[in-house]
Amino acid sequence: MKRTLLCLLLCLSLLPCAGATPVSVEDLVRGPQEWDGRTVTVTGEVVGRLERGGHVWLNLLDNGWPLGIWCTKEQAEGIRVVGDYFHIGDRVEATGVFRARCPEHGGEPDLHAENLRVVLEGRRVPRPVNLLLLALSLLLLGAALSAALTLRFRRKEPFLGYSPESF
Amino acid sequence: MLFRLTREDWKVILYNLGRMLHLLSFVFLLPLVPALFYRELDTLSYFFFTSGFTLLLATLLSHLCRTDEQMELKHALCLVALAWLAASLLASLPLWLGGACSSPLDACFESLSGFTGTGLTLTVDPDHLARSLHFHRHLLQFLGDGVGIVAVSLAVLGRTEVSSLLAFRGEAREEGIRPSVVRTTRLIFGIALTFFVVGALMFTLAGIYEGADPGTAFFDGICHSFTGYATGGFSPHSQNLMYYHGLIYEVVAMVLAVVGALNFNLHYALLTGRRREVFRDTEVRVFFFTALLLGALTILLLLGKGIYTSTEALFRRGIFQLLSAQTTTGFSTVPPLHLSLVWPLSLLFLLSLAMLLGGCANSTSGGIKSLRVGILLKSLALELKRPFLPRSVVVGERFHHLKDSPLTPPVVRGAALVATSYLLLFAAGTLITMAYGYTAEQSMFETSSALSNVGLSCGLTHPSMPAGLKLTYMVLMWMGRLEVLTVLVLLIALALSFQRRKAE
Repeated sequence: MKRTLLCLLLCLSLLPCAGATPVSVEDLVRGPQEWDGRTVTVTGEVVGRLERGGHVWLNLLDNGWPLGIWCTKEQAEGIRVVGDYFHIGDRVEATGVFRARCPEHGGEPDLHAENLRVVLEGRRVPRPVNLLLLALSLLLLGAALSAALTLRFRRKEPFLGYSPESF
Repeated sequence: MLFRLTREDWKVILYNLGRMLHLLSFVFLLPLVPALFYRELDTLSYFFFTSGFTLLLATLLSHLCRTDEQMELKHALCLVALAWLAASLLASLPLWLGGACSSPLDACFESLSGFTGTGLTLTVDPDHLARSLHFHRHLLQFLGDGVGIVAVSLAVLGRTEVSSLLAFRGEAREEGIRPSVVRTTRLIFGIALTFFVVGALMFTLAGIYEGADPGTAFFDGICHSFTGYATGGFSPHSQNLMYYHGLIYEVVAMVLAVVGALNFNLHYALLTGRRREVFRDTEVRVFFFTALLLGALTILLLLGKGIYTSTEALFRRGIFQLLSAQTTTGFSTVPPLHLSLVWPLSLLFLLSLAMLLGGCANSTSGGIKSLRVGILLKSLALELKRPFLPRSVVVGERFHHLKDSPLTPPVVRGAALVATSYLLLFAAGTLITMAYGYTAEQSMFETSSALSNVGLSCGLTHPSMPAGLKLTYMVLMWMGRLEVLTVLVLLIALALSFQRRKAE
């Protein structure tokens, strides 16, 4: 009995996704008319999050192709990491109606999410400092600055508007 | 008899190039501020290296080519044309080292697009790019197109007023606001800085209003203000302005772009209380008349084809894209591919026309410029009127630009020369793009965007674009920014020097 109930609950939770076609954002951008008004499922990394009252705009990036996802605050609750230089954002799967020119949002292409879930949590990207490169770069800058100043001082020419006397 | 550049002439050019690069080497250190603030310590070396290399090159040039000869017009024109290339080449170093672009050619394309205020981008993944590198990209647009780095550097470092004046002309900014060019460049810098600060504040507030966290809104505000005023069009996000999904943010961008597209002299006139000047100026009238006309046509076409039906959509997509094209800003609120896939073809032609027309002369915008369009239209009207008048009647036309001036043949010839050069380059660029297999309308759109330093794309400009096309657009951006003639002088000088060496 318990197992039957669990299966039923699982089926019910998946109901909103029934009939949704998995599609890439590139397909939506390349064929907007074809997908307009259809329920689709897209997957991508969250690279932007804008809070609008009870709703949230999520900017999704799928293989270099961006798309705005309009969802409720509750739907976006599970999103922890937004992608930037130091982070790979949460990877989410959003199911909803795609509008090539959404009448509600000033004609922009978007997806109104009916179901949204995090499929892969984001992570921090290590950005180690290349100390050798840093040292060499500083050395080059130091050498260039010394050469510039030495030549200017020798000729008693102003450097960037400053005469040798002003140093 | 044509002048040929002698060894001494080249020394004058390279010596002054060295002096300009001195200043640039310090400018390349400015992104260290965001790098340290956002703890992007791994990017520090890119800027130290670029600055050091530039300073070394500058020192070598100014030491080896040292001369006491004064700069003449021929030197200034060659210097400006060379300086834009050299500066772009050097500015591409951090972009390549930091992995912003996938190849040195792409990095050069990106930095040239930055310096010329174009905004066509080949950045691989802008959403995951270091903020210091974004700052560097956006700063290039502000310095290159917003204030005109070559003229400013010569005004700061130049030995004579004449050298600054000549470089000022070479950068396609012919009119001075103040009698002294040094004062003019300082004033332009002051105006640009004021609009940058106001723009950054407005963008930050608009960003927070649209729901972004204050940190992101502040950084994006700085970047968008750099490029908005410079009518550049770079953005730290792959969605460009669509990242914010908001009307207020777009309105701020629109206002800043229109301000940037107006003549510096008008800014000065407004600042000094001469408000009537705005309504009297032929150039401003032509700019707003063409914007209104093309805007009305855009709305009609979008409505007619049923693309957008609501007022909000027509304004945020149609009018915004048109103003972005005509001010040569290049901010986008429509995905690039939608322009060629969803919008009617006739609108691609209309936007191409708007891009070619451009903003005002002596502003941060590109294109043929409204003043020249106005002069040519007045001249056309005069020629059409002439056959219907008695022979004894002497007809003349006047135009108002800072002062009332007669429409003389040299004025018309000058305007026609630049317009013809632009149209010839436009035709050549379109044909080359078509030779790579793209459609005529896509080719026209992308060519006019590169040539007029706009930055809007209908999807052609991408890292996977053929290398030959990247080079073509780089040449178009370079020639478009310097209004063709400056570059032609350099090319002719190089050809003549080469010819003489061959003869020897």
